[in-house]
Amino acid sequence: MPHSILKNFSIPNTSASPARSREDRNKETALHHAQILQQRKDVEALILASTEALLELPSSPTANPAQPHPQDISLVKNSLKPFQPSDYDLLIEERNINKLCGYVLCPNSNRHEDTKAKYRILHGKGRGSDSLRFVERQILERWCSDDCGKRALYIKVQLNEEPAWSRGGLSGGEILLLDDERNIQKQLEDDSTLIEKLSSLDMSLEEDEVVARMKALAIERGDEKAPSRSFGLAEVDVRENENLNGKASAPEPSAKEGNANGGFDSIEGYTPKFSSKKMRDSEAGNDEDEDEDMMPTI
Amino acid sequence: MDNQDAERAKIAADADRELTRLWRAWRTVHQMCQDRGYEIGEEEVKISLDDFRKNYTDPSGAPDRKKMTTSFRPTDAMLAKYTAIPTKVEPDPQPQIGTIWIEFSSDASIGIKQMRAFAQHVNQHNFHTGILVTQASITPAALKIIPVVLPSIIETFQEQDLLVNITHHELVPTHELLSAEQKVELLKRYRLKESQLPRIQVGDPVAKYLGLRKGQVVKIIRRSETAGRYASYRWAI
Repeated sequence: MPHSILKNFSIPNTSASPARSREDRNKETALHHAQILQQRKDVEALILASTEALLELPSSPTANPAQPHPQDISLVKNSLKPFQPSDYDLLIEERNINKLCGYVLCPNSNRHEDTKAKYRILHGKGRGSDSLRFVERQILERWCSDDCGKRALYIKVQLNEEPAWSRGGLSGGEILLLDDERNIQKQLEDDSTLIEKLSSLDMSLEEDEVVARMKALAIERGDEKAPSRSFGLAEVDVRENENLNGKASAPEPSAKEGNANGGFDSIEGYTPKFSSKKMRDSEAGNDEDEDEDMMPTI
Repeated sequence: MDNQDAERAKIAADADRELTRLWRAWRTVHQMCQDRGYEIGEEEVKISLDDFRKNYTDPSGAPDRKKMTTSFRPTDAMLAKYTAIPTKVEPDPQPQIGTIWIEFSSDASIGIKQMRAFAQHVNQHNFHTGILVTQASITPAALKIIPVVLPSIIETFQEQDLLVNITHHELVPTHELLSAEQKVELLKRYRLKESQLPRIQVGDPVAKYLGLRKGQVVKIIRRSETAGRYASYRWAI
């Protein structure tokens, strides 16, 4: 009886498992992307909730923006962490709509210019037209005072430009208030234990921490299997071939005037720097074995 | 004295202009609700400027937006249109539409706080849909609240977008929402999946006018020189 090519029972068995595995893989991919989206939505919801909470600050209507309540400070520092600068701008806008100063820790109402004009002219230092500044009224009305404006912008520049959902595991550093900075500086001036304070302020990273961060970065990129070199740079071993004994003598750069303006001896705009013959003579005989790949030139 | 009179006349003229603008927006909103299929009397839609002035101004003659609120119930035909086809799992589906609440906002700018208050009002009084007509654009943060308060549906319009009824323009063809049965019939007749239909965005001005939701299908009827009428369909995404 001739074998029918159609009745090959082994095929469904073998083809079933790859099909299923492909299905699994597709499902896995879909789930992965769904999780990323969900994470993004969660972060956005968190930012919206934080914005609403920060609209209500400060907790007491008589708070001093220069010396806010410690509880308020920690709330602000924590909830601003996932913010981008644009989110922060939205928060300021929302506070202004509620007739509050844009700085989160200020209970005063924002400035109100008694005009509908789009721009205001401010008189600064100096004389003549140089001292005049043209400022949009809306920008002027954001804060209750220039001090609050400085405080608010001091926070803004510390915010991470990258959206929180794509920052991965890396958490940003602590957000500092302008007054924190001033207090620290004042303390530094006053305090006798200056060095101690300085060491606590030390921003330089320890070697271990650098390695840990590079590892986190590699995981974030998705190439965690790649060995993380200590600084993520290729290790290039540069060995100069210093031994140029007598027979391997390059033609002497004939004239120095050629070097100055990229003359005849420049290679695609690069002018090789020849060490003087004196140097060569003194170092000759140190390392003769590294001479193999030198082309003897006559 | 002349100066003061001139000033007063100018203020009155400004108030009158604003009143006329609001009257036009008010009429457009009513036409919109009528087109969607809510129960509205003809005299409500065609309110005259004088009647509007009588009802919706404060003693000084300026328009009073706080008075400009209203609500409508859907007609039976509309209820039927918004009811899904009965299935084995859900033999008696409820219509996905209900009373609509319309409010003209008196705040100059709309932030999170105002939006929350509106959403709460809609939710508390069990309105199915809320329409908020604002004077200026709403902040982006406030717009993020809209998907959070589902199942209450919140739609927002700006006054300036309602000054004319866009569907009355001669270049805008008739858009007609299909019911669930009509949609199934259409897909069966052309042997299509719904994803194979051409699409319309829910942010499209006409889609906003009709309050389209994702997954609904509209029939667009155009005049055609050769065929007289030509129908095409769009799947709202």
